[in-house]
Amino acid sequence: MKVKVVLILLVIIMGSPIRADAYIDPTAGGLLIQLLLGGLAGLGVIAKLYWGKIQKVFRWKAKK
Amino acid sequence: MNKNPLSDSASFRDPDGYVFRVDKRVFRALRRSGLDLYQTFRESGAAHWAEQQKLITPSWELKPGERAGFGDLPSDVVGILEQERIPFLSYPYEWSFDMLKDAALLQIDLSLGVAPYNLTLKDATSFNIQFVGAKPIFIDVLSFTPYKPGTPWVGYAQFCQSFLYPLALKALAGVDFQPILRTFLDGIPISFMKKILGMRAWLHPGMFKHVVLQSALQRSFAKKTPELAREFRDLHFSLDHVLGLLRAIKGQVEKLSPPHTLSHWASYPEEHSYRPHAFEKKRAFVIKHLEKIGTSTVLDLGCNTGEFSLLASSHAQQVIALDADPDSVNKLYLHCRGHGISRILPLVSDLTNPSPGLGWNHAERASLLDRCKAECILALALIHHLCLTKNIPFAHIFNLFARLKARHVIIEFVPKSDPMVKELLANRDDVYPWYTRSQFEKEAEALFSIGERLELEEGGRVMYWLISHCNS
Repeated sequence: MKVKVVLILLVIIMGSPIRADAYIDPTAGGLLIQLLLGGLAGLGVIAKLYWGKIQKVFRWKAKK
Repeated sequence: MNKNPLSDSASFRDPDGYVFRVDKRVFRALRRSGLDLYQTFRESGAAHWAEQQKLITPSWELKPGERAGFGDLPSDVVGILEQERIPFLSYPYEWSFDMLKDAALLQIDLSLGVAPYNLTLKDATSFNIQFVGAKPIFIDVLSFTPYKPGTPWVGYAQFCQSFLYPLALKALAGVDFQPILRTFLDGIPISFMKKILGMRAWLHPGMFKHVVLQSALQRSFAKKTPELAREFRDLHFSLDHVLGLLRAIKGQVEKLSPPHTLSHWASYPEEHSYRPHAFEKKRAFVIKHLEKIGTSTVLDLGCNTGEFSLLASSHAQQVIALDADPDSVNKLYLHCRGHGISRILPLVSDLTNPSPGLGWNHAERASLLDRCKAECILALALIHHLCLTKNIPFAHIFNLFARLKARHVIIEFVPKSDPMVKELLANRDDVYPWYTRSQFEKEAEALFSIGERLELEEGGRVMYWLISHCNS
């Protein structure tokens, strides 16, 4: 669990490996921050999304 | 979508309706969705509440028999509203810090106030707010829409960009937002904000949330919006959550204040070079002519902190007070707000670079000069700055006064012998042989007659009352 939290915080603070492109939805950050500020359940959603992203990276590495 | 030839050039984005003007009256044509929104807003009681609180411009529906003079309206227009006219349109890039802050608080207070009627605002652009004197007022009556449970505050990102970020730029970094908002009509982009604030954004709790975190989340999950909409529903995101966020962001806005150091110009009235009797003579001259003219609109160019705008407000229905220095304009705004003075509209504008026509087709936001029409112009302690700092010849200045339809001009000539002019020319060559009182009078008389002149001190500054040849 501790490792999971540290990894999520690292990804949030260091920035995401996904490159922004011309098709980004300008409201996504605004929606997510509202979930985050909306309470613990929102924080859970963000954690879930980030955890999914971290798992993807490891899966990609394992396949390689 | 059909278009009315009378339609306002700034009003074409909203699918619910558009603004048009006939003579000096302002109307809003409503399509089916717009009429539904307006009727909900009115029948809920929210419109009455907001009008009572003087937060929105009063509006009323026209009966079919009251539509004479509108020509053939497009077939999709099913209703017409009339709205009270705003005397002078201004834009966020012309407002001072506390004007934008008060507009931000109005936007939030309206959102909080209509929530008990189960309504929310569908956007949060600062262009939906205007100023009548020193009071902000919301003008877009089609912005109110029923709140759908499980949806977020849709105007959040727009509120940040249009209000929170510009205010934070000035408060935290000392950067004036006006030229930046003039470029970014949709508000300051988050990436721009993050770069300008740098470490300050990390150290300020509000900016950490609304800039650093929001930007990180935006970068990471920009393509996940459909999933996010589902998460909001699953989490039972409610109006209470939206209200919590609104209150929190209101707290952030309230805490922001401009840096304490005032610009040189904002402290100018305490530092100017007049001897007391000369300044009294100047005041008396201005009062005498304003009383005599009895004008409706006075344009005070280079108003500084508004000493003469305040004088003029006793003799005119409306004073538009312009100055290039945001801190001076803010000082005047706070004075007007504090004293309940409603006849003065202070605006930040550099006369040598006034707001141009902006947006689509250069026509969404009219240029300042196209909006400015004044019967009387005050140009006090200004001409030496225009001529000697900005190299603008006398003739160009008088032509501008004529373009602004001025019938009367009260202007002060500041000669080269004046200590302030000597200071201006201290470190450069005097390449202004034409800057003399006689040349000033000669150029003035091409378009105006000199009604009266008064030397404030022998060989010193001179006051003039000019009467237009062409605009009388």
